Amino acid sequence: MKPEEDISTFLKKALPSPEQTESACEQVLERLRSESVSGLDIHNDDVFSGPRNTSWIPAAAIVAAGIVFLLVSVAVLRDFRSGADRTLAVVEGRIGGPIQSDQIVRSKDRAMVLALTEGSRIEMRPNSKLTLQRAVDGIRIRLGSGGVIVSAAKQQADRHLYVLTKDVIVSVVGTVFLVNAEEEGSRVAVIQGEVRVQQGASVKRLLPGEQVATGSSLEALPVAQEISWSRSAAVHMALLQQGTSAAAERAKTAAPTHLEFAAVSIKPHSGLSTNGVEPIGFVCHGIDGSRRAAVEFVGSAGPISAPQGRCVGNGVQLQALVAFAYGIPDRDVSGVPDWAVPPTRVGTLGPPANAFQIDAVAEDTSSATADQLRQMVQAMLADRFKLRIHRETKGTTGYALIVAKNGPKPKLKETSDAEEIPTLEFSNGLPTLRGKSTMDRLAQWLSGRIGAGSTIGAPVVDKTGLTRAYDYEFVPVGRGGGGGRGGPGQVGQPGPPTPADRAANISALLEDQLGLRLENEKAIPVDVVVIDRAEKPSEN
Amino acid sequence: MSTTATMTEMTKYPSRPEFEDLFRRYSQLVYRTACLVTGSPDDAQDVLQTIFLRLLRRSTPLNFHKNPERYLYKAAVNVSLNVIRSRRRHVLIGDLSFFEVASGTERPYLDEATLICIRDAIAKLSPRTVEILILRYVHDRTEPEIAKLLGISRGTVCVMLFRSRIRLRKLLGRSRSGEGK
Repeated sequence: MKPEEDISTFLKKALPSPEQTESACEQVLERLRSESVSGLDIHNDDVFSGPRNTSWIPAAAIVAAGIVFLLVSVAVLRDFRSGADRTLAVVEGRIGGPIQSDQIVRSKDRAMVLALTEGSRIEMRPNSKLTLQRAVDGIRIRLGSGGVIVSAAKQQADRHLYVLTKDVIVSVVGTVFLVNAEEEGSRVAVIQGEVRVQQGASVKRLLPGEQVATGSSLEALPVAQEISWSRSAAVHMALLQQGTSAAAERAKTAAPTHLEFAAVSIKPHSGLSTNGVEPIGFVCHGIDGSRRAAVEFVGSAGPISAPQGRCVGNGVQLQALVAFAYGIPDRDVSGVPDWAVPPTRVGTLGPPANAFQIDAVAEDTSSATADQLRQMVQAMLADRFKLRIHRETKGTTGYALIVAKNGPKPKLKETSDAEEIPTLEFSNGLPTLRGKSTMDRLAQWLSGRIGAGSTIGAPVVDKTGLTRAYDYEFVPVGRGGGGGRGGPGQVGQPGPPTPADRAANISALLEDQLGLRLENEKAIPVDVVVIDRAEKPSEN
Repeated sequence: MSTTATMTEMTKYPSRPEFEDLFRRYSQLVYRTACLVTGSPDDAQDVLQTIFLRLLRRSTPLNFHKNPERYLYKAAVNVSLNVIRSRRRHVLIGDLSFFEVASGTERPYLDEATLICIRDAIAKLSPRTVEILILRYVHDRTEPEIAKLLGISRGTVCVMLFRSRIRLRKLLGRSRSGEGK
């Protein structure tokens, strides 16, 4: 064989087949076409047609001046070109006229109504401002200020209607609700149906008559009062009454289920030195998988394990148990009584103090899920530890998960598969993190609110704007020389890594591999659990 | 060409049909080149996406419109080399203890040995050498075609091919025998 043939054959071994090549290129083209990658509307001609034309400014001024006498003006604040295919809505009433993607729409001193082409209606309160945008999976209403009442039409499969304010994302498939965007925060209330409200890492579902406000200074107002400005207020009130009475009926008929273990054994930990031999931690094994306490020490025989339908703990402390039971990181549990505070350790790992050995079994081990077992732990804490808690929301600094400047990377693949929270697998001594979830869930995992592991050690909120579920994996290796203080193999570095070190490391990984990154975020609202009372349990 | 005209040309974005046409014509060249250099289909998709995203987001230089194939091919090589070189600079993250240790099944992390050999060897070559080698031995371009595409003389192509062939064979030999590190 000629040397040239040898090299050619060798190099071509690394090439994909023509079919694989074609498929990969098509995938990339689809992503480039989608708004989620480019951040630009590829279907919007202005992306391609050269430098932005700013000659619209005087034209917009003339248009705005011309329609002032109608009291309601539609000001087009971005480049616009007519085209029926780009029309997302029309203004109802005398003013009429199409509304296209990315136009800013303002209502002046009278309410106005937009009829979306897909059937939904948006009532704009006077002095409100919004933008309509076409998303990959539906339509986004970006509410800048003021308020709207949205009567969402039934959406097609995989289509959603979103309302976004500066701090919440509301998603619906068919309902009537209102959103107000104020300086101090946002308020969302439901008139009919159900909406999903996402604020940072927390997601709430609201039913008719229920409302949520994001700012602590925003007072809760009766929904009836909130909709009084609408021309359809009477219709909305009737819907609200129907919805609230139906919800009350459901609440009456749905008997509360109180989940408890069939048997619980709690003993103080023996206090014998672990020295890395004995696993320390807490785990519940349901039919749908295991759920572990955030902090655990893996013993020489591996991590702590539990048979199906059981929760097993060794050397576990009250704070970790409460955090596990309420699905929050250890750092968000406060008010730990003195008897349960672990003494400060001198040197390396010592015997766990003020800790317990726990073995609890569900009544029906063949059907208990991990979440049901978690609820049983709550009941166990209330019964055996006489635990009383209350919840608070506090503002704290943390990080926002955002899309890096070049957009999501190919390893972030859209998926319709069932959720799999991120887990780290080791292979050949190297870790790979895999998961299938929304970015909101990834942010929750990074902040330690789901799954196990304290991850960054600070709250993380999702601000990617990516609303779908993704399949992702990345290898947690960091840039040489950046961050990673105090890690294994880095002799001479002081102390464990701080949350900032961890965030810097993770941010670099996310950007390199998934096209996401973390940036500092102030005043993230975090739900915390405060222990009002807890007693040392009696041994059995 | 006047200065104004040049400035206008330099800030031109491709129109949508132009963009789609460019993508259809050159995406496979970019992707296969990136696959070879990075040794990873995922990274290759990343490279392809990055390069065409730049076309959407940034103004393109004048020489892009004169010879898009040259621009895109050189970009494919350079971006791919950046990917593998940054990967080589990586070290294991300092603190892994904060990740969950899963009990899931293990998956092989490393690619097959051949791919590693190729990737390691390519990472040690200059971008120009990689450009010529891949055009010749992967995309099966002739020497005059390479000269025309890269805007260099045929003699230069021949000399660089000869030298790079020797160097590549040496590097591949070392990698295979484990001496390359």
